Amino acid sequence: MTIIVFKYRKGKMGIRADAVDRCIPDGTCKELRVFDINTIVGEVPVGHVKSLLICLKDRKIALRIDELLDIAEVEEHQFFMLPPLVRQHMNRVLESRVIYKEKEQVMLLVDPNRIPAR
Amino acid sequence: MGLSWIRRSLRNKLVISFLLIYTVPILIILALVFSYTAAVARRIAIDELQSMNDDKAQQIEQYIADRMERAEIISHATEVKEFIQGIEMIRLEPASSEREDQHQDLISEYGLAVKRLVFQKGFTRLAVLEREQGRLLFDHNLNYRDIGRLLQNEASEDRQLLDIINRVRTSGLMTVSAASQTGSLDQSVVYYGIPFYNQEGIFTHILMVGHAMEQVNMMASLDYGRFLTRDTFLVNSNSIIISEPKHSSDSFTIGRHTDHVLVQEALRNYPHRDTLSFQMGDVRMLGSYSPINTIRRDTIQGNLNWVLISQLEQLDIQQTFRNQLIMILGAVLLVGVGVFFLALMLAKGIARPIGDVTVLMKRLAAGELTFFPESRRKDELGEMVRSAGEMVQQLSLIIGSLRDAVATASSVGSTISSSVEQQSAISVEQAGSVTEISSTMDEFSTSFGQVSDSVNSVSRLSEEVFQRITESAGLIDSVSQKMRDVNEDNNRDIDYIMELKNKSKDISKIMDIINSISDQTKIISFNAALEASSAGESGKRFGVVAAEIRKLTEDVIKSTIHIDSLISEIQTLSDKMVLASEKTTKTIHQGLTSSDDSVENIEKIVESIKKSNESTKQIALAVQQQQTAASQIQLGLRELSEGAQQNSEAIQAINESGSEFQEVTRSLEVIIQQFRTEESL
Repeated sequence: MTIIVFKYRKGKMGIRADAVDRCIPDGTCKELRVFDINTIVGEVPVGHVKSLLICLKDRKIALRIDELLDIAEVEEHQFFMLPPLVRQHMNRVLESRVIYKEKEQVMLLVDPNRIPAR
Repeated sequence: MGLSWIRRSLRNKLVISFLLIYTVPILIILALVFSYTAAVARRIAIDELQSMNDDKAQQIEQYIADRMERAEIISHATEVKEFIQGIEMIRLEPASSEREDQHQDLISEYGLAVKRLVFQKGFTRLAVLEREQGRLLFDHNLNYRDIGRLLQNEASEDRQLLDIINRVRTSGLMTVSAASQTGSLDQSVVYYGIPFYNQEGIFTHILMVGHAMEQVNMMASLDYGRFLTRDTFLVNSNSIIISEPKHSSDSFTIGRHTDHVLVQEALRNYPHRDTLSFQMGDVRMLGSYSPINTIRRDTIQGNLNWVLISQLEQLDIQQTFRNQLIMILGAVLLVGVGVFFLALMLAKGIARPIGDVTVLMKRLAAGELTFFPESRRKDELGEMVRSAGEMVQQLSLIIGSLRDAVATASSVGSTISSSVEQQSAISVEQAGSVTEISSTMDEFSTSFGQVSDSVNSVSRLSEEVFQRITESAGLIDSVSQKMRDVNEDNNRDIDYIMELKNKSKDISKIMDIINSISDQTKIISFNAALEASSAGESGKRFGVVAAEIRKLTEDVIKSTIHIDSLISEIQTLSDKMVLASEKTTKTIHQGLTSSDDSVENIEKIVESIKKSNESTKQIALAVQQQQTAASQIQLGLRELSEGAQQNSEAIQAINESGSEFQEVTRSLEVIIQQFRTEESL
């Protein structure tokens, strides 16, 4: 599975590449509804450094992120489910799975389908 | 020795004095009282007994006379006349039931009026008798009692009544007598027999009115005086007791006192009065008798011949006077005790302030000024104590002040002494100093010659310095010119560095553009990778190209970051160079300023050296003048030495006076130390 990795605060976050249409510089498209990744994950909004927009496929929605880091191929065994108690307290926009690579931080995944239309 | 306690204490003396003042007159009075002998007491008792007896007899006499007048009034009263006329008229009629009824009607019609009149006049009894036959027509309560001749009755009271009636019948005058029905005193009655004359002036009836002896008894009982054993009774001419007040309440049977010495003497001596001593058994008695004379007019006949007798035991007289003496003595003693305590208080009140003042004076004599007696008395003694206390306080204050003054004087003396010693030492030092100064002035005078030579040498050296400094001023001027050239070069370098900095900023801007392009390229490479990924197997090769482009972009970004850091370093270095150049410029400016200042200073030094040369000449002249002055100073110092010698002698004299002054102060301190005040304690 291909994952687009982008910077989120001091860590990383990912989104499935098949859900993404394209990446565009911030402020270049006024037709899309832009959701700030900080806002929808539930954090207090902070200023972006080198912000970009990730346009979602088949939806007029874009995510404003800090910086694109990588496009990575991830195997199925690298996914693992979070415990139910942790899931109860997680934001609904995030997937219940996370990606774990050895010697790296745990990567959260954004669920594009759970990003609200409004 | 025994009376020393009196001599030593003012209080005891005063107490004794007060007691003597009280005791002497009291003793005199007591002596007079004790000389009030039994004979005098007996005389007083006789006078009192006789006087009181006479008074009572007179009262009784007056009472009986008053009743007689009232009885006479009754006999002339209209009601009585009409009543007796009615009786006579009825008696003329033959005896019948009709006559009895007429009697009853008469009593009903007149009886009550007569009774009321009799009671109003103070009588309780009324009887009516027929004169000729002596028949009793109406009894005491005006009941009809035609009982025949009363002369035949032998009863005790009736016999007495018959005696009165016979007297009235034979004399035709009012007759008074006392009678007792039952022989007891409380039943005794005083009867008044009154002749009644009809309208023709014929003596037809006898009226008998009477009243109880109670009033007489009461008058005889009034005021027994101060003697407990006094006994009073009333007897008639037959030695019959008709009143004995002490026994009035228990129906004392009337008896005769025929064997009573006093009664016999009184009746024998009637109608005179007297007091005499007599023996009654074992008891010595004193008695008085006073007659009661009831016959005051010719129209009244009486057989009263009453005598009021009072008697008492002579022992009672002595006892009474003894009791009075004991009471007087008790009162005297009581007053004496009171006087003693009063005297004690007064003596204490007088002696205490004097004692306080004495203590104060003793302590004062011992030099102790710490005792300040106080007194709340407002009299002269209190004033004396307070004045004494104030005197000690004032003395204490004066001694305190004197002590302070002496201490101050002592301190001043010591100070003067030490000052004089110091002055003496200073004087000696001054003399030595004057000598030293004198020798110094000699050396000074010698030195002036050497100074004069030195001044001339200085003048020559000043000339040489002037030449050298002028040369140095030229050298400094050329250095200053070189520094200006360097300053211009430095300013030019700063301009170049600033230009270099501006260029590096332009390079930074270009690097920003390159960064932006790299970012765009990175996005494009990401999109290309996305496209390749969505294209599946066919897009793999395109994906590789996209990845290569993305890596290349990242390398470019890294390179631009490195260039950015290099440019930043260049800018930092440029800034440092500019700062260093500016600092150099400032230093050059300071050097130039210093050079200018040095030139200025050298010019001033040159000017100063010129002035110094002139001054040196003036100094040489002044040194010569000072040599002359030094000679004059030496002359003055000799005079000063002589003055110091005189000063030293004067100080010696002051020192001796100071020693004497300290001696006097010490003597004064010794005197003052003998006084002890609260401050000194």
